[in-house]
Amino acid sequence: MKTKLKIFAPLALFCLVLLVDKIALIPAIRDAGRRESTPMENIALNLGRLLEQEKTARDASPTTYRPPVIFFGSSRSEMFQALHPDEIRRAPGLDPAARDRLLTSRYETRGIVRAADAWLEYVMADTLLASGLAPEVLYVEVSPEMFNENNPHGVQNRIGVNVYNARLMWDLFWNSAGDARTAAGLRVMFLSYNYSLRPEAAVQNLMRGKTYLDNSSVSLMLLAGQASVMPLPPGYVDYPVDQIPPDEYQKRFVDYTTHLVTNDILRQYRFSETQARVFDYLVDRLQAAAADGQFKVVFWSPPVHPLLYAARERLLDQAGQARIVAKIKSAGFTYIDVRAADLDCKLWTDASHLSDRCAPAALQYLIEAGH
Amino acid sequence: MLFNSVAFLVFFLIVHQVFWRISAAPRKYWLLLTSVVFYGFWSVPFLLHFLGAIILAYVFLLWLRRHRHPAILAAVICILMANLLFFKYTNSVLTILAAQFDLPTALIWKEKLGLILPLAISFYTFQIIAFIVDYWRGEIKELNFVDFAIFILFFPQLIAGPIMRHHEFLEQLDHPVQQPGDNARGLYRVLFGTVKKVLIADQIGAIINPLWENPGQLDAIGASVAVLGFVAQIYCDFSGYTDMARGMALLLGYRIPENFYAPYLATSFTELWRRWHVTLATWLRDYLYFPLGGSRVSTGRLYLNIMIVMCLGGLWHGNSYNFFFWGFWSGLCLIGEKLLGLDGPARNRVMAVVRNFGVMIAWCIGAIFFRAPDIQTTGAIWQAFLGGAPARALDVSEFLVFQFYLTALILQAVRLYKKHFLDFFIKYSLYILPVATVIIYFLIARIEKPAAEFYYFQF
Repeated sequence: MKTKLKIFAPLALFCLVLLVDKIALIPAIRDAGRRESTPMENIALNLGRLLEQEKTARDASPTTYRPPVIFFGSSRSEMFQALHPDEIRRAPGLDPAARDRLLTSRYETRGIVRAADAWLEYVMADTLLASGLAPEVLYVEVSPEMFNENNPHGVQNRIGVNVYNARLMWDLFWNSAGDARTAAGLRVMFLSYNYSLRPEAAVQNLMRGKTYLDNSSVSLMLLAGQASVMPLPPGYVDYPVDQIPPDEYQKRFVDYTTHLVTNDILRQYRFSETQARVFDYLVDRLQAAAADGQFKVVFWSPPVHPLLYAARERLLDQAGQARIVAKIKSAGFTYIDVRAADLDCKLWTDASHLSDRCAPAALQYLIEAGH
Repeated sequence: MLFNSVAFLVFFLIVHQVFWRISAAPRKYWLLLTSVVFYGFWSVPFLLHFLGAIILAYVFLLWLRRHRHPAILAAVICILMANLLFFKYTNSVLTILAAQFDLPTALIWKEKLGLILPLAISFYTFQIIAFIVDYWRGEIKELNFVDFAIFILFFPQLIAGPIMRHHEFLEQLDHPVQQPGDNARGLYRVLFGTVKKVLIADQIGAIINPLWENPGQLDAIGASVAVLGFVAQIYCDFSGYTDMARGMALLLGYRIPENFYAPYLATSFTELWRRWHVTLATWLRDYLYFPLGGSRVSTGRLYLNIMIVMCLGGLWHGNSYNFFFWGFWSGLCLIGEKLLGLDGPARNRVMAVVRNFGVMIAWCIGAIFFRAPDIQTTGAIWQAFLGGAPARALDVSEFLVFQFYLTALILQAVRLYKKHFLDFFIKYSLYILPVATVIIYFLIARIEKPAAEFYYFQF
């Protein structure tokens, strides 16, 4: 007996932890005891709710309903929040016909997340596909920075800071490599760890009839009240490409480029196998859904200022970028690489961001190039 | 594979299950195989390098068996030390050459070589040397390659010690024994080590690491938090590793030496060094201090011996001026204590408290050299102290660091007085162990950051 205990004791403790861990499989306990949702999770939750509202509107008047144009991407896609009718009317570089066409569409930009990578785009796309709503067009940003293994906002950071449900972790496990796969596997194996489950909070909240969503209700309410498109604020700052004041050029272009290359999204650039696999899976799922729902998907690379463009080109793994483009094209989707030179609007806020004022021109370019 | 990772946990469970299920004869071969896998998991090229060092050392041992000549002993020690020094100091020597002597080619060479310090090289080099010297001294009667290889490679202690001696391990190798209570003792040690490492050291690190990265922005309170936090972190990190190593070894039926006996409760610096990283301190004593003459020399020579041992001990840790200064400062403290006659036990409890306070102040000063990556950071921390304490309250995380420091002290008191309650914990381990394991698991589940490496892995 004692010999058996000697052999089994460590294994028994491990099995006990595995067993107790699975209380996170009980939805009521998981929702009462898991970590409160982060701002990033709230964006996905909010998007889910907005898409449900869209579906309700569609079902209420199926003949007159026009689905929105949806954007997924990083801060570079945030310019599309300026697709407000007032801004479209006064946008530079648009002919009247294009202006009218842009004014007839509806835009949903609340799935855009700053510093988004392929994983976050996948999370947003998963929310869209789960809703069953077919957008008019889905624009998915593909910036090379999203595929940097050493991007501080990469997968490892995302899954450490945010809680993603077990199904998403399972998806990540099957569509990742290296440390990210190990981390995802760990979270699939230990669900309470994945949800940061606090048993004592679960008991308290169960007794009060609360869940983690109650604690996020204010944040979600604020997000729900946020408009999808809005006019630019007074005093919005941008510069024509050839008229940037020297001190602003130094700060917003030279220093910012250095910061991005040394400390941020471009630091120690190495093409990420995990991001590439997640992206492949995103494309595969969109391909199946787009064929079923008959909606259009356009992948696009936003322009960056020539200064950053030159610095970035020196770092990129061209084979990796080509692999991404090939994947998009093999799925039958359109890929548009927007160079600033192609646009009729050349206003910049900094080295990484085209001015929001250029959103209508950029969208018009995407529509034309897509045809 | 970090001890505090699930991958290692699964690895250990497999090792443990197979170990006790197979007959006695092949067990040590199983240990050898799994230890090789454990090291190879980190880097296959460095595993080959490590195995090369073991084979080379064994060839020299065989040579020594046939020709007992001091030149052979000197040669093998020189080769092993050259191997250690090459990996440990080449990068810094080239950097110094480039900076001090304006030799840019030194930097090009540094880049070309791209040297990485092989994991555990400092530990296994010392362990191999100890074995060879003990063999030379006639303390080891029989040579066996498998036994020698397991002695060096034994995975629970491979990465960061304890630095074992042949008599502490080899006699047990063929007869792993678990006495009543050993199983529970081993599991308690593993859990205790996990708590120290994951729940205390890593959490302190998350708070103080940003402080050490921006020392120029610290005030005196911030600097105190950074230093005190590090003192608690390094103890919990290193002794946590040792607890896990000893616990796992005990689960496999082996007893490996303790490295920490409540060092922060010491009443003199001499006593502290008998309680802190004990296996390194005894190694330095037996293979450096005694050969230099030890204490059976003139007073001046004694102080010189202490200084040599402590400075080399400092340099064993790392290849920077800071580690040298840390060793030098430790030597100064030991010599100062001897000069003042404070190296013996305290006369009463009040004196013990006062002396412990003094010892810890000196230890904290040394810790600044130990933690700071360079002289500039050391200077910035001192500047923060000398800038005076601003009138401000501690913020939450700073307060947390003080709490962690107190916890580290309590843990050391627990270590010191454990005999008073260990029987109770062993007796009721069937109930306490599962409950404690589940509680610790749910505490770990709250942590957002991934597990950090053990601090001593860099040495």
